[in-house]
Amino acid sequence: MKNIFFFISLIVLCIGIYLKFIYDVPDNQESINFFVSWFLIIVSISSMLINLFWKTPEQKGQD
Amino acid sequence: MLICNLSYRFNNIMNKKVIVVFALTVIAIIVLTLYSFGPLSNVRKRAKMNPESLKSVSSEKTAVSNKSIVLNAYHNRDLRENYYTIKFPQVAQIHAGNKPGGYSLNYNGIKGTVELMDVPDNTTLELYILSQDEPKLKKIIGYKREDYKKLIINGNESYQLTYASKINGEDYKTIRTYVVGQDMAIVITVSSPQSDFTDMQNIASLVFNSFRWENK
Repeated sequence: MKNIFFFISLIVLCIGIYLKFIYDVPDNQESINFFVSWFLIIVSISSMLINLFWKTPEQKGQD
Repeated sequence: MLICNLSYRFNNIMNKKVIVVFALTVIAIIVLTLYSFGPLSNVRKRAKMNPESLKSVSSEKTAVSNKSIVLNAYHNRDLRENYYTIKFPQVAQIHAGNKPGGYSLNYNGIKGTVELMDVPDNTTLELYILSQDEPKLKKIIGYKREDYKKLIINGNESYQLTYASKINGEDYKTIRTYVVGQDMAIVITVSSPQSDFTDMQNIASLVFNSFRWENK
């Protein structure tokens, strides 16, 4: 489950990077593109970090 | 009881690092929203404008219909891939445009703008002008196309649209020149009351004939 979540986050990160650096943004849509691309990058990185730090009750018990 | 139960489960699953990451994400999204659409969005737009673009780098004298005019050259360095040089009359008031890579000018009642225009990859500049840009102009009160022609400006494919319109009941004429670029196109718009059309035509031709892309 954690691997699937990580993989989805990675795909979202790639979409964010594509929108930020490769996609040819039409006129007057720079603000939307700026927001959406950075939103996807931030959310995907933070979800990867949360995925990394997340501990199930069993893992907490072992600690 | 329910709150205690939820709090117990929350503490059981969450750890401090997750909470910190979550809190930082929320803060980052709030800042991003302000920076994109809120009061900080002007900071982002201004950050792209290079102050050097507003400094004239050289001057030259030229004669237009027996009048001597000094032209100042400006190197616009706002957007990489779209650096260009343009000359404006020395006495004209030059300001930064609304968007990076642009200028606005005011010269004896003659008003003008220079703007970068993004043309989608799946079309040509001419098709874009006729299918997208001119239909927008047609919404201007009293719009009437007077001339449309293809030009070559300093080796660049260009198009020029001349039209009449009404502003506050007064007849105006505008010359809009589009120059093809490697990344974006440039649009030089100069307009004046119909009575000043000859003067405006001379100034417009000086300005657009001085235009050069620097990346070519």
